Amino acid sequence: MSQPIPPEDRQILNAGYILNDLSAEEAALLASLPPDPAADQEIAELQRALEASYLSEEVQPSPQLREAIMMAARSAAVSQEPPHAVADTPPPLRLVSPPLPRWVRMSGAIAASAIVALSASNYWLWRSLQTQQAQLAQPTVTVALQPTDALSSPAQVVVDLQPTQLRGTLRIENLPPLEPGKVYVLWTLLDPDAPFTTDDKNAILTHVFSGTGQAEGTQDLTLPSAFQQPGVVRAIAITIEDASAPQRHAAAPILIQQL
Amino acid sequence: MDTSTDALADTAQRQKQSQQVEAALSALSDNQRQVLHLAYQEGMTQAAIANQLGMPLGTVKAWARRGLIKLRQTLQTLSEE
Repeated sequence: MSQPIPPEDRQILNAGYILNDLSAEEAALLASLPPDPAADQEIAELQRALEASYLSEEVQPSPQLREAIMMAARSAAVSQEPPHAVADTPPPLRLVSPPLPRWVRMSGAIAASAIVALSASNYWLWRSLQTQQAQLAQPTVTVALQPTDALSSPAQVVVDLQPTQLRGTLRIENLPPLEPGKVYVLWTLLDPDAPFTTDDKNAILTHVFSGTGQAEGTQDLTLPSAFQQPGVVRAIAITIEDASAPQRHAAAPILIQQL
Repeated sequence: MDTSTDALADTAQRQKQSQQVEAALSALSDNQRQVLHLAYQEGMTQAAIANQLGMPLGTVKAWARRGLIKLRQTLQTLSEE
């Protein structure tokens, strides 16, 4: 421990300590000095003088605003400020003089988050509206299948097509009851040159349904994507196939409609 | 003392402190005031201040330290009046 130094020198060291600009030698000297309550008091007064002169007084928000900010802050992911970089010159000069009160910066972050969230929400609503309008603009195509000579009963089968959504509805009336082990199969018949995988009859198995009695009612359909390409789908047909292998497409159509 | 009286007293106290700080800053030399202002209002490091003013870093340190000591002395004097 070194000997006391002149009061003026000690004062300069104390100021350098508060300003955090002591050189290594000065810091070592200050650390080696004997305890001095008067010097400790002076250091505290220097700190208060600096804060009083250059630290902006914080303005507290109203209780309502404070509560709103705290609630938003708890739910928002406000990123932490990066730590101060180590520099040759002391950074505490900035540490004791924040440019804005903390609550103002936090309010800014919350406002920015709210703006981003509202913008995303508006965009999502706009896209939903555009999609719904586009869907409404697409009319449903109704196709009534015509019976062939293979069908003796006065059956009526109507398919409502919504190509943009690849959805459809099958409406059935008076289809004859099936023999055991048989099913009805709805086929989508394509152009031979269509770039889709089909069976040897250029058909895509679209829907399988059965009826133990008189087959009637409405069934929802999922259409193959070929419906979204103009001029590719040639016809829709219904056959009666073996339930164990309806994909064989062995039978002739009982109902068909060219498109 | 009710809340409104407390608020008035608090406002008066802050106003007095503000005036004392203003007076203390006025008592500094131009160099001292400028260095402290650049450091604590503009957020500059002492090295940057020295570079901007074209002065040695040691001189800037001395101005800042003596300015802070002067501030403390002036504020203490004013608060005792």
